[in-house]
Amino acid sequence: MKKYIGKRILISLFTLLIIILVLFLLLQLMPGSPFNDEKLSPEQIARMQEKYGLDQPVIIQFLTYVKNLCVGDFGVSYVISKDTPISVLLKTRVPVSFGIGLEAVTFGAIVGLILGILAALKHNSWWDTLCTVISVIGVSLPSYVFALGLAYFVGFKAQWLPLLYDADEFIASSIMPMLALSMFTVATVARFTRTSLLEVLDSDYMLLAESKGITGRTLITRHALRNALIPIVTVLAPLIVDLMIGSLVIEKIFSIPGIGSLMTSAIQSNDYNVTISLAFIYSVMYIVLMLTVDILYGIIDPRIRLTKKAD
Amino acid sequence: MKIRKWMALALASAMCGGLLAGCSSGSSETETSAGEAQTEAAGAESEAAGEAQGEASAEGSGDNVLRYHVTTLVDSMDPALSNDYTSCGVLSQCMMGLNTKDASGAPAYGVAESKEVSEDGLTLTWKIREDAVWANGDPVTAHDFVYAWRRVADPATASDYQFFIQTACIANAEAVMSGEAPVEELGVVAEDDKTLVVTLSSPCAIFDYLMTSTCFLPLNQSFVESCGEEFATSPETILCNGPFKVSGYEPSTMTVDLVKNDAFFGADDVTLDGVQFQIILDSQTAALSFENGDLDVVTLNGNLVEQYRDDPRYSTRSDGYNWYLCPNLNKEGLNNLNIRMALAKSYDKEAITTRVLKDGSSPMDFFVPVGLATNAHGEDFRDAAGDGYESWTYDVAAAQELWQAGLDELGVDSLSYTLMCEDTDSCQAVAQFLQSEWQTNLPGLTIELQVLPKKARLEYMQNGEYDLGLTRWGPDYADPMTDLDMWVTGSSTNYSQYSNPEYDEIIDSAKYGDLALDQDARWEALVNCEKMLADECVLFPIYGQSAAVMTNPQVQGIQYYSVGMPYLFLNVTKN
Repeated sequence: MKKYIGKRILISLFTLLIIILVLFLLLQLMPGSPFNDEKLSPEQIARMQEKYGLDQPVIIQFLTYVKNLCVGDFGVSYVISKDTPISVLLKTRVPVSFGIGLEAVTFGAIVGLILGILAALKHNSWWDTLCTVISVIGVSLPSYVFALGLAYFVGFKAQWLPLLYDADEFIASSIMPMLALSMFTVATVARFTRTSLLEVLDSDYMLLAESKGITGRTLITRHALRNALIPIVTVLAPLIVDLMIGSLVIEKIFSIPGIGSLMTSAIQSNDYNVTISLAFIYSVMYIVLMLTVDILYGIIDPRIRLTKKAD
Repeated sequence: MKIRKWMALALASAMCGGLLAGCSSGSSETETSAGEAQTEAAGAESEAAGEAQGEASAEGSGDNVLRYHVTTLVDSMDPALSNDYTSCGVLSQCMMGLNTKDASGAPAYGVAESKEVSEDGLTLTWKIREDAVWANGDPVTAHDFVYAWRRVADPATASDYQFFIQTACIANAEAVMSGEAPVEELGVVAEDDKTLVVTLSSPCAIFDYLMTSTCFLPLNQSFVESCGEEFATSPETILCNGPFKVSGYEPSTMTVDLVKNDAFFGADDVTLDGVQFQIILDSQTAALSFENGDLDVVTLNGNLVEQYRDDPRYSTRSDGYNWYLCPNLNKEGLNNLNIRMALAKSYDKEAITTRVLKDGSSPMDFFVPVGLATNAHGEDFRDAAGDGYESWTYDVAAAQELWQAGLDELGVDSLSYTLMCEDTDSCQAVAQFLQSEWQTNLPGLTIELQVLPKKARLEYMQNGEYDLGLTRWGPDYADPMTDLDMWVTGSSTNYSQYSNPEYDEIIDSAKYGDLALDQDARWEALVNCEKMLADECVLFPIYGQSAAVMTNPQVQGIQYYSVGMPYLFLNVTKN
């Protein structure tokens, strides 16, 4: 297992390097520099390029960037917040997106699981219908529709919750964005749980377990649910990253200072360092998460663990 | 725990309510686009406006803080680096230079109390108020100005507004800015703590005006140096000398909080306790927050403008930007005057402002905006230059004749061009309208649209790699020169690549030569310059941009300006 994880980490590091290199090349190909502005003369632009080392060949820029990255230096922003170290930007924005994303994932996963389990256990009942309806709506309607609906009815009409994000009231002001974001997760998890659980309940080993006299809660949690969880973990993993990196639209509607909106402004304004740093963080998150999922599989399903040991 | 469960249940049911509402509107029309959803919400919200306003009044009476909506992030709180509209707006409330602006927008003394000009107009001696102090109690001194201006001129700072040092004609500006001379040689010295002496290379007609700009704000050297790289990144690292001081700020924040600065010399006249800038990118959310009473002033756009147009709280103001088209004079066909005039005369500007933009923007048959600048006799530039030029006036019949004449001269029967525009909604809408107008009115013309992010568009236009480009210009100071010197040969903003030695000579003389000394002759020469641009159709003006705002009726006295400092809250009252 240790060898396996070590190998995976090495591959991940290599992947990250490639990602940064590709980003560097792509940004270089993009027309315009961070300093194209009506008011700036070519001499001033040249001076700024020099100040930030952008007049160097791409490969030198890349090596310098990686070298700095190794000591945790992401560089500074060129446009969005001039000369501010990216680490400062991230320090304020990442926790907000992560916080709301985690809330949404937790809420989405729990509600989705409960709905899915109820639908499967009470197959063909009104619970089942409700689960299907929510799944279809959650998957097919984009999250901004929920966000606008919530903002209007809950935030504006009823005034139950703050319409705009307020750092001093994180819990209250994150509820609406969290709900809007989690709808897709609720729907997806509920759908997968239902299907997967129904399949497991129909399987031979469940019949065997039941004939052995195992009943009630033990039967469902130890035998059925545990087996049904694997496909759910698989769909949940990428959803976690999707939600934690922040949604552009949701962040815009509730005026949340997260990293989703930062990424868009960074790309639009050619703020290279911000773009690369955020892409780097996304990549690290995906890679770490995928690794975690692989390990989780082993815990949920001993058969996978055994195969890996045999490796 | 029980309460949380109950809350979750309540919210879940509220959410289902929202969901069902979403479903019903979605089922009546197969698709619900974001735009439609917004319109619906805004429609319903207009009905609720009255009641919401009542609530806002009750809530607003408790505090005395102006809550102001802005649409972009603060790019920097360092006066030398800040460039965008929001930063300029925030800095103008908490810092004050030698001059500020009066209600009419004319320069008035800020921290300066007097100014003496030498006979040749080349030496300016400014006296700084004895009672002008920084928020930490240090006096504002002439050294603060010397330090700040040298910092802007220093090429190592890479300030966007470095060119202002040259525009102000400060002696040795060019050598210092290019790094050939040390910053100490810049023509600004502190004779004593309260006396600042500025030496100019030539008389500068707009010096007083420039002193209201953020790049000429003072900086307390010891404070800046003690902050090091952290300077201007938090309330603790920003030192103010204006009516307000910063109490809440961090880089790329969505809210900037200011509180009244009791150390400000005019603090007795400041009635607000503070200002909160709220950055909201979504205008629908901004409008809802206004109705909620969370904001006192919001900027509207698109559909919302139509919704609120008849509301008593609605108003528009010019924000100074000119939108215009640049023809690339090096392109085949566009080098022909008849073709250019045909293009300039064949689109309906009135329709663009009233049917496409609908935000109070005004059509322009000229380039120097109304109300930008007045001469020594108080005459507005537009009164002197007239309200439009023949070659820029909409007239389809005349355009068609010119078009045919142009085609004959070129010996072709059709032309095709690419129109480059930005990826914002309004730019694309205007570009599509232009495309349809041109293709309908000028037979044989094909226009293709090329939509790009702003930085990319500018890169192509600066390099001359385009046919027709939709672009904008915001004036930097209240003088026609800000709109006219961009068209001299080799200027980085002369996207059309226009080159006329006679034009270059007049501009140079008006800036640094004989004309600079004779204000009346200079004025007349500048009027003539605009006429040359029109006669040769170097650009095609379209409209002057307006901002549509909603203001809480309890808030009075916001001073808006269309050039430089965008607004001033010094005299604002909130009942």
